[in-house]
Amino acid sequence: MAAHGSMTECPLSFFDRNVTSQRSTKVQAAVAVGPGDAEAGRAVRRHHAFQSAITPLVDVAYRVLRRLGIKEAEIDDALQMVLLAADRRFDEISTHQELKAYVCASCVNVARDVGRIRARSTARTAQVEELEKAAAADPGPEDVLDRKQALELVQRVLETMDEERRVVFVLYELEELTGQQIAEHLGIPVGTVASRLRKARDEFRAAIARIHAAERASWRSGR
Amino acid sequence: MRDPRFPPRLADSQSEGDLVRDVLRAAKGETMGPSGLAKTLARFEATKLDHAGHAGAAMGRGSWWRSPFTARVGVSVAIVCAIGVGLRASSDATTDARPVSPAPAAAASHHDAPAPVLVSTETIATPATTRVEDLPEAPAPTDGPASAGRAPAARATTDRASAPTVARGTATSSAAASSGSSFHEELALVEAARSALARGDTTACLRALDGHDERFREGVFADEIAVMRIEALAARGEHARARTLGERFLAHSPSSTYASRIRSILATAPRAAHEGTDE
Repeated sequence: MAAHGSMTECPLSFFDRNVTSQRSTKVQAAVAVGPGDAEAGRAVRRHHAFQSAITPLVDVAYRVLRRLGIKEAEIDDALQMVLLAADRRFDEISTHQELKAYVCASCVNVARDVGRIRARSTARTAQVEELEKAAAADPGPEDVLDRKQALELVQRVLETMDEERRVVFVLYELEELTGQQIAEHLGIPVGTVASRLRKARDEFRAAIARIHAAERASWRSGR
Repeated sequence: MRDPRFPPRLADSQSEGDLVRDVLRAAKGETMGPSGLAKTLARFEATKLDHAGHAGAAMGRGSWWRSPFTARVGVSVAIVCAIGVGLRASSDATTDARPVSPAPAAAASHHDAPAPVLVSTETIATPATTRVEDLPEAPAPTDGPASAGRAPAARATTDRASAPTVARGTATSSAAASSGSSFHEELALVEAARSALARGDTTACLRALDGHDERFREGVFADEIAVMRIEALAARGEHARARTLGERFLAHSPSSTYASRIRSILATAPRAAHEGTDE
């Protein structure tokens, strides 16, 4: 099935894989000295192409990692793992959308690995306390949800979800990958993606409604 | 044709409640901010270069810090990291309590650890000579307020990246003292000059170089600026000035990795002297 994401397929050649080789011929001729120049020039151009392509995706990786439960103290290392993975595969990827999907899939793997390591070293109670603390700081329903509060709310809801559903929900609803892309990168059938997404959406709606109702009740009782 | 199994996204669906839409839109719009982005990319560069340095040393091609490009990026990382660590130190006392993870930071910190081979960086780190194109690209032009608590934690990387600064002394400390914004501005000017020279616009190149000298005379990229100026002057036929600056550069930095390129420029200048405008 054809992908039907909202983003258009943008060839990575757009990111100047070859443009640098077309410019500055005069200057290059003047300054190129030594047999290593051609190779070094190719590497530099490739490096710049990767840099241009990956820069707009760093925020994507940051969001996905955070939504999949990576903590603030872990995010730097996790991002580096994703960037290195993308760099290794960059030459095999031909479109921006494909690179984005690969970055998202890498985030899923990295989040899973980091989560496993954390689970071995962190008491579960600490996470529960963290959630309770966040709940205590929630505003009343009449308050306008500011950005930070909205993010906290999303995070709280996502953390109640089964991991497999959460991954599909984040990639489809927040990062706008297509069902086909998610299936390919997670190695599962499209039907499974659709099924997990349906359940995740129901859970998300229900959790938001539950939290909203609880906070409204708490607010009215003079919290 | 839309797959019916995949409905419109909740954030775009008019049938969803406001709260669902609002929180999802907020989550979709979250970013690291320019400061966080710059730090992440700088640390990535440092990690790659660190690996490349090991690869180069292992192959007997010399030390990684001999590459001007590597050195400049290293200096850049040192500056960005210093800013980030400073910010973090004031707001986050848990840095040292980081959970141990198999992160690239660990690879970058432990020099004996096996590093993934990154084809591009091996060659970046060890060019036979350095060209204008080897100069770093400028990152995002603006730099917003630093995002507290999201500082680069590559302490060892910073140490390693700081090595080239020893040779540069005052210039580096001056640059390190400047703000992240100033650093980006300097890098942007270098990039503007590089791009102008690369497309043969020597006037724009010299204008950018003059702008750099006015603001960052002791800047991190002083050598690159000097070399670009000599090249730009030679390219526009001002051979006498190019020679003067080139000889001064060679007298001051005879062992610079740019020396061979300067000599090459000077060698061709006399032959083209009759075409010049100042000879």
